[in-house]
Amino acid sequence: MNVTPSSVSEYLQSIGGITDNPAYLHLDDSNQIVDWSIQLNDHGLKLFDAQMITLKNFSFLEGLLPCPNNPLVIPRMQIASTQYSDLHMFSTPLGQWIILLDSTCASIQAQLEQQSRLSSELLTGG
Amino acid sequence: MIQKKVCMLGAFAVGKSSLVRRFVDNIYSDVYTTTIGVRIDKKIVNIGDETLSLVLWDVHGEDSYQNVLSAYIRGMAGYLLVVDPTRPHSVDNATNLKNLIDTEIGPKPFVVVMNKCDLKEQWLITQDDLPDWANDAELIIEASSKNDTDVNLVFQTLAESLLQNRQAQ
Repeated sequence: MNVTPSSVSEYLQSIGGITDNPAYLHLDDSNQIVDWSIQLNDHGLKLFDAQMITLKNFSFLEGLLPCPNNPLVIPRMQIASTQYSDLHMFSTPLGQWIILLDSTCASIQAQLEQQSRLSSELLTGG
Repeated sequence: MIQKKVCMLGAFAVGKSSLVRRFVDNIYSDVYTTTIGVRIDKKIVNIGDETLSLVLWDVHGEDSYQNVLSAYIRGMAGYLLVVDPTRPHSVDNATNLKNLIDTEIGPKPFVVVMNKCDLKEQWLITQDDLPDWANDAELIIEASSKNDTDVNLVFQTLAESLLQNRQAQ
């Protein structure tokens, strides 16, 4: 089992997130994968063969690298059909860090509310 | 293989998600389902001898979320700006989006999609009514996900433009 890197756990603590078994990806400064956690598969990724994992497995990162020094949050990303994830990206002297946090429940609730409101708007010529 | 991030942008219910579903999965549904956040898909297109992987970011069109739009458009190579000519104020939304993009990340190649051409008898505007910024588009295309009219052309046109941009750099 992976030990959560301190950069990840400290960041999660700073935002009040759950620090147990986070889904993370660690890149060096030249965008080479240093480490990743199997929990990324909980977000719709299909990372089975550790030897074969490359940046191509993370197509959603296209255009987003390098990670900024100050944390960037991209909310409610739907990478798989039913899953919503908040993407957190930041850099430290140890490299680049990408963390996915599950936001499915809140997103589905927001989707239901928005669906109702926008459907009404459309009916009234919105 | 070359990979590029492309964003689908426009007001809510202009048909952004339907264009993606038709292009990626060749399916269409008449039921309106609002998008929350952003849905990411991938599709490989062939342009001549080159193969290009498009990473499609289907961004929600809800006005109240425009503050997070800057995060969604980060790193995009180009975009589709979708309007619904049966709802002319969707053009105002497109104008705001175009201005935001130009301010935040600078001009990028884009294609204007005048969507829902299967409802053309209900259109309240034509291409001539689009603001001046539409002249900067690679192309203005009348399309329909429902009838599968020129959906591939929309994505193919942007993909070609992205490749040309890359070769010019």
